[in-house]
Amino acid sequence: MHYEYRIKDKSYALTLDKSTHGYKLSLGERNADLSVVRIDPNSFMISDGACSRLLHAATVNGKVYVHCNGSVHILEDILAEGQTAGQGGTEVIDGVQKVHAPMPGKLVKVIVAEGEKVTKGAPVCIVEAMKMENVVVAKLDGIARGISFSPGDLVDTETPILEIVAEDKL
Amino acid sequence: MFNKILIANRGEIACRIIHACRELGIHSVVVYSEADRTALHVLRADEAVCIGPPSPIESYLSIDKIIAAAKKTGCTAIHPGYGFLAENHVFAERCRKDGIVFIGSHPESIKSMGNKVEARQMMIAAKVPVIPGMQASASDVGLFAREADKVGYPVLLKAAAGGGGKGMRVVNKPEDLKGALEGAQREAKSAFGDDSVYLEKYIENPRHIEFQVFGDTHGNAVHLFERECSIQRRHQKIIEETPSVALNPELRGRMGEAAVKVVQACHYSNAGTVEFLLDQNGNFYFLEMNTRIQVEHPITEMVVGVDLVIEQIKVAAGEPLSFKQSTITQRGHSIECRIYAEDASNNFLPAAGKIHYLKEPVGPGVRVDSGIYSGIEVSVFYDPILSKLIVWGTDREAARKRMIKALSEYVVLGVTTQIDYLRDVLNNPEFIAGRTYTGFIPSNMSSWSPTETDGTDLAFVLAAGALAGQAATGGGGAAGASSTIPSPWETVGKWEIGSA
Repeated sequence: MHYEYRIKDKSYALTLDKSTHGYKLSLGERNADLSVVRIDPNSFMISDGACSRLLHAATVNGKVYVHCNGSVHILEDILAEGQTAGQGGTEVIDGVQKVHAPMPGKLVKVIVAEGEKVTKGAPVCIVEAMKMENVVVAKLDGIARGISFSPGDLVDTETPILEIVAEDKL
Repeated sequence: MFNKILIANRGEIACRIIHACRELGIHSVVVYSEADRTALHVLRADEAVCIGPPSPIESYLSIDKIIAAAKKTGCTAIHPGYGFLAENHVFAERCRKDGIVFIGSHPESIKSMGNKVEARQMMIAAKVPVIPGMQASASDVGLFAREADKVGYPVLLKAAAGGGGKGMRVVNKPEDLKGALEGAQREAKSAFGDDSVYLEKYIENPRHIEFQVFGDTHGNAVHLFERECSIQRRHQKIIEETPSVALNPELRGRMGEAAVKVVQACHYSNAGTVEFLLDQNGNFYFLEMNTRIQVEHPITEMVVGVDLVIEQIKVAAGEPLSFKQSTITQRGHSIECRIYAEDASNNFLPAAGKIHYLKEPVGPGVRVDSGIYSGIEVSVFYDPILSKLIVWGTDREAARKRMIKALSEYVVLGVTTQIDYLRDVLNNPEFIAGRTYTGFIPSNMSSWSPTETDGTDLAFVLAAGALAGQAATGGGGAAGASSTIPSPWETVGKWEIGSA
């Protein structure tokens, strides 16, 4: 079977097919015969004859988390995601920054007022999670508007707290 | 001895105390917030009482609710753990008034030591060296500005009721003072319910050396040697070890004596920690006394062979200390790593969510004090500490290598941890050489990024991803669908006995 995964910003295409003795892996230039012992639903002993490792994997929200030799890798399935739009995050798209919390937490303070002029790099709000405060900053010069939460509200990484709009986009 | 103890805490420390209770044959009762219904301490305890909403102020910091829970369940003693109410003298006093034994020192010593300013004054009187700075906490920014000018920038703002780096700010220049003061006050209020802040001279790049101390109600006072906790990120300890490479027997002896002097000065009973800063010239200054069990207490247990939590319970019950200064010795070396739910590759943002898979390391000299399990939801409401990994080795290098191996085998999937970051700290040449100062992290780790995986490991990671993905979606049919787990014999491939 053919698979395509993205780990951070790198993409990999591979095929993995059952063979008489185990699996045949093909990854770029590399071809390997793998033996696989599945120890429990999340644990695999994989060997290519020269090297043998115990790996652990779990699927979380469509992404596969894989632990190998002390590091965790997050594999995003490129084939499954189709043409999902790029993550907005707090990136500036077309002169608008939708500001949301960097992690789920509690809104401590909105530093800017509705309609206030803000400069790039200026703090716009403070979100607290696990007792640590995180300051969210403006990524462009613009006007703050659409403040939709108050201090004390729980905020997540999806719903914008406010937006910052470049003056020429108003 | 007590029949029933209430544990007014959560997470790994609540589980640690449950262990001690069970070994002593004491019934354990825990309290929990609505966010913690399925937390590990709730599952482990003999009894559990829900005390309110997730916000700590309405649950783990609510004295009334905790006292009521203790009375309702017939507990005659309360162990506060660390954080929350552990160093709250009002709580300790309330326990006394209600006839419940507070497993810790008496309220008067907690009050004088818990207030960092009062503690400083007491140390000056006892001729223990202290850092130059304010003699009292204040709220007026003008007062802070004047004191900062007097001792000279950089200065450090500290919560008077604080500890663990909460409500603490380093200020490098006058124009940053106001904002830092507001932030420190807000954080202090939320973490300790008290927004008093004071200022002292910031000593650059010292070592953080603390002494475990113990007093009892019979007038005995001993120290159980040092812990070095210089590896800190934003004033939060992340790796601790004992013994410290910076102490020779002579200096260790002098610091130990000073630590015992602190215990005697406040007639302290039960477990405590006297923190010192050791500057580059070998001078040490009293920093503060923590009147509680410390997060990093296990490394002391590993090298001196005393169970500190069991000792706490016995001393609180009125027993004399089970050891004398002359019988306490250090054997071997121990290191602790704190495992936090945070993303080291993304500015250490807290990482809440569900742990989908957990496998803790095991082996000779490896100990895990844990508050998590496979399937737990890590909540946004509390400290991001998940567990502590502790190792013991015959010497520092043996312990270091053991810790690296154990970290490599510590599997947490679903919630991001800083395990790979910790491993890189332990592999850093400066750490190996023992050049551990509180500035270690900014000096050596600021450009850190995770090691790239390539070659065989990358191939294995992708293969495991494909195999796990098939199982999750039920597609492919290669390694079995999630509903039926094949036995290893069914999935064994090319496998020979005796092959490498």
